[in-house]
Amino acid sequence: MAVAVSLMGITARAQDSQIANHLAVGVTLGMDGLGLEAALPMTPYVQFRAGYSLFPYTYSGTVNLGQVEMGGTTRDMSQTPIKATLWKGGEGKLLADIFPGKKTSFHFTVGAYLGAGKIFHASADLSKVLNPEDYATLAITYGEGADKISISTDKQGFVHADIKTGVFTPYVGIGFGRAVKPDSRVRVTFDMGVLITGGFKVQSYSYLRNDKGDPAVLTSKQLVNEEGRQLDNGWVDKICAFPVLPMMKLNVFVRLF
Amino acid sequence: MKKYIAWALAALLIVPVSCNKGGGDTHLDEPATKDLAQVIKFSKPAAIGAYGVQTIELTEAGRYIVTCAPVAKADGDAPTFFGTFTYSNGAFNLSGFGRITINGNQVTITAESAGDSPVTANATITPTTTSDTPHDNLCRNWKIGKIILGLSGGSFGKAGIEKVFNNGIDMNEITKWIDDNISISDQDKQTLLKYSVREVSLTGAGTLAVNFSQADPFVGTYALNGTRIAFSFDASDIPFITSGQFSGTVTFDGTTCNVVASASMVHNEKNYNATLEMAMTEIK
Repeated sequence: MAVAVSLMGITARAQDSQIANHLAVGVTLGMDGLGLEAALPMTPYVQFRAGYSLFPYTYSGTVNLGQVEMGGTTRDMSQTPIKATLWKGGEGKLLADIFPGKKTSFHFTVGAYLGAGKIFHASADLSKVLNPEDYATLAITYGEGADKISISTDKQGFVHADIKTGVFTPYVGIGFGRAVKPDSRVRVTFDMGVLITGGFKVQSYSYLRNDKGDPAVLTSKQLVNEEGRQLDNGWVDKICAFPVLPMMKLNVFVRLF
Repeated sequence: MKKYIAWALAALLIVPVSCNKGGGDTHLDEPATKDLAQVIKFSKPAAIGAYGVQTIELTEAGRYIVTCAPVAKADGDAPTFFGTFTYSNGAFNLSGFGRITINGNQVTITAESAGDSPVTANATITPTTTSDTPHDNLCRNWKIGKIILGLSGGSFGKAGIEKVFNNGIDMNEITKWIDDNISISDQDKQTLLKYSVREVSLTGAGTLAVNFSQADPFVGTYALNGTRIAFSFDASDIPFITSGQFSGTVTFDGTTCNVVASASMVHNEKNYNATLEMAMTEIK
C-alpha cells in the first residue's frame, strides 16, 4: 500500500513537470526521405526525438557513357544501366526541440544525423562490357602522385559514385508544432533547418586494393579534357565547398500514452 | 568521485592499446644465415676461365651473389651468379657455382666452371650488419605476390590505367596486357617474356638482386631511408625502361613487405610513367 502511494506521488510529479511522461511515435516525410520517429517530452520546454529515415525510391535507367578505351579494347558504354538513389543506407537522427515558452508551438531544434552520409548514390552496371577477369582488377586513373585517383568496378562489375558528407552531421533548425500534446492523440509538426556538413565529397571507388573500396575523391582539377579545358567550369569544387545542406520535413505523430 | 577516477583510468588504458594496433615496428625472425653475411671484394679479379670474380656477397638469408668482369675486353659480358649457399666444415658451398674457403684475407675459390681447380686471391672481407628494424626486416629473400601495375602519360593523355596481377611479375600476363594497351613489337614481347621474376633479395650491404626465370639476375644497389627506398640497376636490356633508377616506399604489414615504386619509360617516342605496387612474402 505504501509502495502504491509512493508510485502515485512520483507519477503525479512527473505529470506536473512533463518529465518523460508521454511518448509519441510518428512518420516523417521530407528531404531526408521517409522515416519513423519517436518523441519524448522531458519538460514543457524540451523534447527529445530519435528516428531513422531512408529514401525508398531507386531510379533505374540507362546512361550514354560513349565509347571508352579500356584494357586495350574499345568498350561500347552507350547504353549503360544505372541505378541512383538518395540517402543510401538511411540516416539515424537524434534531435532536441527547445520551446521558448511553456505552450509555444515554435521551437528551435539541435541535434545530429548519423549514417553513411551518402546523400546521393549511383551505380553503373559495367558487367556486360567488361570481362569478368577485369572486375575489381582494372582501373582508370587520373592525375599523378598525391593527386592520383583510381576508379574501378567492384567484384560484380559495378562502378559506384557518391555525393557524401560525414558520418556524423550536426543539425540546427526551427520548427512548428509539438509532437506530444496531452489533449490530442494526433499531432502534425514541421521542421526546417540545415545539416552542417562542412562541405561535400564527390567520390567514386577503386576496389583494386580493398574489397570495400578505396574512395577516389573527384575535384574540378581532375575534370579537365585532353586540351586542358575545364569540363565542369569549377562547379564540382563550388558545390563541394558549400558548408550546409538545407532540410525540410513534415511529421505526423500519434501519442501512445 | 571514485567512479569518475576509475573511468578516467580505464580511458587512459585504452589509448595506448589503440596506438599500438597496426604499428610497423614488428621485427621479423632473424634470417637463416644472418651471422655469416659478408661481402668479399677481391683486390684484383680472381681469374676463373674467361672471367675474373670481383665480389662474392653472402647474404643474410642464404643467397650468394657473384659478380665478375671479363679477363679481356674481347670476352664480352661477364656473368653474374646467384643462388643458395650452405656452410659446413669451414667451407661455403655455393650451389651451381662452387666452393669457397677463407683464411684471413686469402680466399680460395673452387669453381665448377673451372674444372674444380682452386684459385686463391687476396680480398677484403667485410661482415654485413644492419642498423635498424626496417633494414633487418627488408634484408632477406622475397617472393612477389599480388602486384598492381600502372601506366600513365604517353598515349593515355590525362588518364592512365591500372591492373592487378595476382601471380607476381609473370611476364606472360603482363606482356599481353602491355601489348593490349600500348601495342609493342614481337621482338620486344620476346624480350619481356624472359623477365618473369622468381625472387628478389636485399642485403645489409645495400645490394638488390632480382632473380629472373629465364634471364641473368639483375644486381644493383638500394638505399632505404625511413620508408623511402631508391634502387638502381642496369635495366638497359628491358624494352622501354629509360633509366635504371627507381624510387618509392617500403612498408610492412605483418610479415608482408609492400613496395611501391615508379620509373619513367619511353615507347614510340612518348613518355610514360610506370608504377608498380608489390606485396612480397618472405622465402625462408
